[in-house]
Amino acid sequence: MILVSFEVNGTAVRVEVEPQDTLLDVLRQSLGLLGSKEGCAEGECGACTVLLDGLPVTACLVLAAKVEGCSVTTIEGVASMWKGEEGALHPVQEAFIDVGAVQCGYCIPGMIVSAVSLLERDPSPDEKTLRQALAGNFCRCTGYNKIFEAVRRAANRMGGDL
Amino acid sequence: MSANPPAQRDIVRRPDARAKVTGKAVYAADLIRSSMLFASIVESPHPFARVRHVDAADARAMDGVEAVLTAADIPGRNQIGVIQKDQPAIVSDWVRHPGDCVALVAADSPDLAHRAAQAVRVDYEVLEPQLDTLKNLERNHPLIHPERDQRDNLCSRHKIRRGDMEAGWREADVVVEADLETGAQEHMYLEPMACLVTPEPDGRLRVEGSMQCPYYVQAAVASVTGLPFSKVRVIQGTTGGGFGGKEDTPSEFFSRCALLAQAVDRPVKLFLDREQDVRLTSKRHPTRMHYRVGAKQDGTLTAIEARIVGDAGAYATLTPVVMYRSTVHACGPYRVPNACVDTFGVYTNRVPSGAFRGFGAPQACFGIETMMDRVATALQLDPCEVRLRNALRPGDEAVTSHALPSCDGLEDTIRVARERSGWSQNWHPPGAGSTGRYRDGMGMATIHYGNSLGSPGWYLDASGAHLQVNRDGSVALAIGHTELGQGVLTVLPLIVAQALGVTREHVTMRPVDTDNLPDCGPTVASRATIMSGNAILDAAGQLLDRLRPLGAKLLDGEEDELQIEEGKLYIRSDPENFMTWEELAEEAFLANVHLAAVGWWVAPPSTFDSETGVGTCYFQYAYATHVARVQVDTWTGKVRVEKFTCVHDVGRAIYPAGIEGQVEGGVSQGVGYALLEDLRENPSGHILTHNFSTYILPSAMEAVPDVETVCLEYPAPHGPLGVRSVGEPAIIPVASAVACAIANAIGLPVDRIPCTAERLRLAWRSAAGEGGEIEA
Ligand code: FES
Ligand code: FES
Repeated sequence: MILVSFEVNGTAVRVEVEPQDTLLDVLRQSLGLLGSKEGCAEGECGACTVLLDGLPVTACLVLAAKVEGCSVTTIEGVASMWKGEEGALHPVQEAFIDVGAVQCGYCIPGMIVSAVSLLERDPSPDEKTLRQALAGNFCRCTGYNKIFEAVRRAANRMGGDL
Repeated sequence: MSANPPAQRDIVRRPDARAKVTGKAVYAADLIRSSMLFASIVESPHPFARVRHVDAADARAMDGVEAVLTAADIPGRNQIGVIQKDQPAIVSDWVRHPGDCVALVAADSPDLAHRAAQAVRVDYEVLEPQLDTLKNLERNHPLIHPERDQRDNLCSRHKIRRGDMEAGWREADVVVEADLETGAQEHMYLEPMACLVTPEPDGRLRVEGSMQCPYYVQAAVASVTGLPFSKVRVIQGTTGGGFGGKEDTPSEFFSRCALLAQAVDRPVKLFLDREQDVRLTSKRHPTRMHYRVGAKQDGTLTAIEARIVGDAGAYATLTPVVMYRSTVHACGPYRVPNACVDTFGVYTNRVPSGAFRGFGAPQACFGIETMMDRVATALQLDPCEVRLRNALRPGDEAVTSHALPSCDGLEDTIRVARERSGWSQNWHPPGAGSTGRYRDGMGMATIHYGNSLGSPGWYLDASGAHLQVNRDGSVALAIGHTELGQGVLTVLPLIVAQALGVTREHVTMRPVDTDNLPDCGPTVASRATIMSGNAILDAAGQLLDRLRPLGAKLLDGEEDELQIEEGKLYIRSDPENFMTWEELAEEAFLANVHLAAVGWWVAPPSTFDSETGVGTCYFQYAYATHVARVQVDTWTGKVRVEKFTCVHDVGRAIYPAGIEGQVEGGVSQGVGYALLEDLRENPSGHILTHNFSTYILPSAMEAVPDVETVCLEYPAPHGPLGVRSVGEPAIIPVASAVACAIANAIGLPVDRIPCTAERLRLAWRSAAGEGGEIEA
């Protein structure tokens, strides 16, 4: 057992982990944060994407023991990254709802985390940047078109154009 | 006909979206119960073998292992086959595909369950795997199901005989012929298969999980546990995609999980990791086809001969009905005076093929649409013209010798697709477009799609809906069809709102639970909106019969003058003086009006003669034409799909943004099927491409930049409010349109999908001569 201290969605946590435990295991099993999904467990599908010190990572490939001192943001913490009203969603989340970018929803937590992270880095991404930023998040339902539309819409709203 | 008013697109927000964007939606893997155990499957490493002996002593002795079950421990019937009873829950004698289940383990951690499964020792007599469908069809070939009285490996057989083939060939000015092939396709729903089975204090089993068909699961669990249906309660959890892959396959895994839960009397969770999910669950049927088509100088078809051989895999599962659909759709939506269609489902030692969005139709579509293009090429005609010349018009007989009901939209889908895609300006004869490294091409595919289950499934083609009006005016809707992402939860409340005259916000859906309603059949075949929608209309009608007299009385008017819409009721002559739906509900409650109703709708029967193929086949059809524009990189063989124009006769577009979502997703899956998704196996039939790193799906980089969805609205005869299916029609023409566009771009035939970059590059090189490039 290894004792690891880090921050999740702004709250300090201390958890005991096994050396082989992944961050995804710890988030889901020890911390009860079930929003991050497992789709492949090999870093390919993107369903488990979280922000680690502000950058998107696939939590299924991050060893929990390595996040000592880090700050982690999961889908549960995305809304509070945006200074909206109490209980308000992040504009990216809103936009996904508004344009109908959600179907089965399983890819969506990871997709939204990747999109939020993109817009933090580049508030008005061009088509290619947008595609590249989401290239690690597979969606089997939507064909991505509405997801792109949602991210563009969120970018506009966050930039004050909407 | 009308296009969607774009303004509507933002209005309808999916009721399930908020939970999904916040991470609060609960999927099966998220379910937790105290004292829960974890299931593991003892998988056969061999594709074909006889089980001599199973020794579970070591596994049973492991600390924390609560149960190891073999076939001998099954209290009920060791049978889960949905159509043919050829599939055991746990193998007792013959192993028929890699990963076939030999025993089950329940233990107190997933890891321990997995290790215990590996500790179960099985003694096999290993047999040579039989993987070639054509060889397996030969007589005296080793039998995969020796227990059947049949002396061959034939799993299903369908045929159509129409007209006089000799005359058809005689009348033809040109005859084209081809051997074609389609690959398997893996569903790759993002959420792997998972369920939780909980024994309840009253002796019932509560089965929760990710699934399309709760009633199939109920039947399978009841069969293996020996419990009556009433003691098996199946509740659908949020389901992370299905596409057919969670049609019958959950029955297999959930019934195994139920056996364990019953044996240990504790909750048991079963989830497959991605690799297992790909190895152990169904695929789209790979097919080998032979087509021969005759046509007159002007492109008029005179005869079609089609032979389609589908790989059923180790068990029949849904093969007989998948191949039925291939048969009925084998000649496309065209006038074919003379036809001879033969389809075969053949057992092999692979994981069973099963349902995948389109259900045998995409394969047939690739066959017939490829041939339509080749007819056009042979006659130097525009393939769009050839389709228009042959497209069925109202009153024409389809190949099954019956007129398709209300097919007036079919030709229009072709015309509108031609116009919206810029076909007339941009199409060029095969290979006659741009020269040099990059070659542009356009391809078209036209389909009809029989809605719902058709003749072989009529016995379960009925559905119910339960509507309950509460005294505050809120309405609870229960149906038997599941939300898989396709939008049932969104579209059905819209139908309730229209039918009752309330707003969408009045309506809340109850989770799908077999306790709510009798068997509503499966959520497949693009039938949920049609079947549940019609049942809703029935239930709403019953409620209105009770509520309208009261409303008229309260408003002091005549009942036939009463209007209820958007949650308000008024007498038509005096709309200002209205009453709210909430007030009506309260008054009705106080008057002891019965405020719940069960609606029921039975699909009109359809027919199919097994000797001649004559029949109505399906009670109604949807029609669509897709046009693909591609650019082929002849150096690398890579194909870029630039634009898709998708014209669908949807009957009535109740939820246009949902239709667009279905079409865009269908295009993506179809493009994957056409170009990327190449399921590879080793010589003994073990799947090698079992994760996202090796089985390549379209990613955001491959998303088709421009997908235009156009809805035509020719009301269907039996759909509620005129609705036709769209979920599967969205994918069926896609791969064919892409393949036709590639052939058009490079002027070479595409005989096989997936047309991967490697294959395309090879074909191009060999056509160009050894080592050479075709440079123009
Ligand atoms: S589960 Fe982590 S990338 Fe798929
Ligand atoms: S919405 Fe289903 S995988 Fe993306």
